[in-house]
Amino acid sequence: MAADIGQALAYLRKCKTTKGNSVYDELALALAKVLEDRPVNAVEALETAVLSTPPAASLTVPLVPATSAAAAAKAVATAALFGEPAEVLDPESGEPIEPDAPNDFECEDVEGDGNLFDALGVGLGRPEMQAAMLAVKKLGEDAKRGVATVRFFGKFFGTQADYYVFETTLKDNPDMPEAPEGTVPYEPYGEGVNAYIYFVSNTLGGPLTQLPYVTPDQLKASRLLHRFLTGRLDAPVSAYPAFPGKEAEYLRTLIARISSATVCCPVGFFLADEDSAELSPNDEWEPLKGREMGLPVNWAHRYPHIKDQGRTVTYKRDPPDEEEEPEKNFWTAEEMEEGPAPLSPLDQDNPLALRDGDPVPPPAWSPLHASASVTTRNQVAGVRSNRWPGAVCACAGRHFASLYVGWGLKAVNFTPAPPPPPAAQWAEPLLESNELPPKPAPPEEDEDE
Amino acid sequence: MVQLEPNFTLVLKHLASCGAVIPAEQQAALDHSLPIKRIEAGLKTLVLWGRITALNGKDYLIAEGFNTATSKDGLATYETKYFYSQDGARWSDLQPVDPDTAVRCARIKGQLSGDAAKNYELTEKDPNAPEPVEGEEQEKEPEPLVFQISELSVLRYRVDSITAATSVIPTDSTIVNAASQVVPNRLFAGCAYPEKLEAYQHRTAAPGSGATLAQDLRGTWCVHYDSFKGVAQVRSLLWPGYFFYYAANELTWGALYVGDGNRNNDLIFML
Repeated sequence: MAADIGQALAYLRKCKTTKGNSVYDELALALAKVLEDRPVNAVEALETAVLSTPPAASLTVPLVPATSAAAAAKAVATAALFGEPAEVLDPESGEPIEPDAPNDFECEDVEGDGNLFDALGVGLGRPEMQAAMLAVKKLGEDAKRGVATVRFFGKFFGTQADYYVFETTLKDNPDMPEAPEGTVPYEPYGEGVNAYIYFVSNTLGGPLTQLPYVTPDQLKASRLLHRFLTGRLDAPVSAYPAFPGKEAEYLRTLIARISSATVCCPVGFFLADEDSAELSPNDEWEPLKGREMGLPVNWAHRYPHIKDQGRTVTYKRDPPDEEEEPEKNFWTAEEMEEGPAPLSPLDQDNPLALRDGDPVPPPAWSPLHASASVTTRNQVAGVRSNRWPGAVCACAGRHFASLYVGWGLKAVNFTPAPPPPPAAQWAEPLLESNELPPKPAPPEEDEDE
Repeated sequence: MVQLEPNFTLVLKHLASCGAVIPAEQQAALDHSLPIKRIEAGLKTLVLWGRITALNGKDYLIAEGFNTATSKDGLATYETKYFYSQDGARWSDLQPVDPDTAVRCARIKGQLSGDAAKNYELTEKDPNAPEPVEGEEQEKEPEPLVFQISELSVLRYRVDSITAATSVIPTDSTIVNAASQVVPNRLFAGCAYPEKLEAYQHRTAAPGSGATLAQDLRGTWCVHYDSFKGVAQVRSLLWPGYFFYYAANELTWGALYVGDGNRNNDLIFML
């Protein structure tokens, strides 16, 4: 009998539990706890202490082969967007940890936007827009980011991975360094091309990266390029013409160009102040009915136009003499560019280039309607851009939205930049040339030498 | 269970994240109009091939159907018929184009207008006109020939070009039967490595020939494989808008084209 007990105890000491202790130690701890606390429901306390496993602090990645671990983690991250957030228990006290108070932010009805786009046959389909809505919510509620407004900008496709882009304004803008001396100054945060701060992730629910501010040089270089994105923010972009930055900066320039060219609002929804071009909501705006919002003339550009210089407001250098009038032709053509008025309607956009076989150039925008029949009620109507394929605007009554889903390519007859002119080999005149000054006469020789 | 033809709902579900979507009303209409058209045309299968965008917003939905496919000389030839619709409800024939017209259709770029009755005017030098001799005065320039190319010809030409360059199926998902017909391989076990281009082939390659997408020009295809869910998305970079999906766990696959129908001739500068 004693030997059996001894063998049994030895066996219990040998077996390991999932936590790493032996079964003997676990039982001893549980009994000690019960004897110490003497709870009223001792049996239940003993059962929960011994038999239950601690609740998972967070969704654990399912056990998958190593090759699919990354993909599984992405699926878990997207799944974590849905449902009530799980209570996280403090391991020491057993009490649930209070989550940080959600950040106060504003956003549009992303899921409703998804329904508008689904009716028109554009965008990403309703399930993905649901996930995008929850990703917007997650970004907005994140207390550490401190965003004031969030909008789902859209999706860029890449050869290895895709980008989901969120357009935000932060409560506290980060610092922006000054542009180098003698170059065109950057537009500060909150103005022009840097009015919004963009976050990107490769999957909805995945880790977000904040994109940097955009500079005029980057915008000018981006206009010369016509490239696929790869999906990695640190990928090199172009050796020639040289792009000042990696894919993160290139993506940021694409976002700037696309948002300036294609994000629209119904005409009359905003009023532009004459001098400062600030937009204010128009209280007297009434939504148009039916298929009217399919006409480009009923939409207006929401964001300011980017000039050739790479800014929304051209920067003119100070003339050398402050008091006198600057001489003619002091300012370059770039600095004199006027550009269209704010909130210009879409029918004023330049049409695309003329093509073979058709005397009429393609318009910049095409209408979109939800129903083939004109008389269907409560139709969603919208426009899609022909210059930036993938950019769409949809409207149903007071509810309107813009979205971009595409490769980040402009529909343009792309001509690659020609190679640079060959560098001059020799800056000074050649050794044997008629233009050189005459050789000086040799010094007279002394008779003594 | 191996699929016999692509399931339209699954295709839309898997390719929605690529932006390959159909308006909700047309999607509802296709459930009813495609089976009706299939019987009217007397075809064994009729599936939605894709959507060609148009400038007036009335995009062309294209349906592709066939009865038999035969294997001859290392190529599988599918006797396909194409139909187009601008509302998802009424389907019309899309007649094939002859080779001369096809060459002219290739000159028309950009998006189609959306007006099925439109004609594009192309001018060409008259090959029969007398050659102008140097130094002599010209009485009048030889009149150039003017060709009227219908929009539907251009549409059919674009559909044919895309089909010839794409029509992706998983490798060895078809098999040649005793009557030299190419039929679905009911014992298809799935792709071993769905993340590789060797797992996919053009359907025009004869089964067993070993010609896969890996033999296509490098850089024209990109594969996004989710190894956890077992779903691969194959995207064409030469014909942007063509998407193919393969779901390993359910052994289903399908493709859809949503775009303007033009080839991406700048690919070499874009990679």
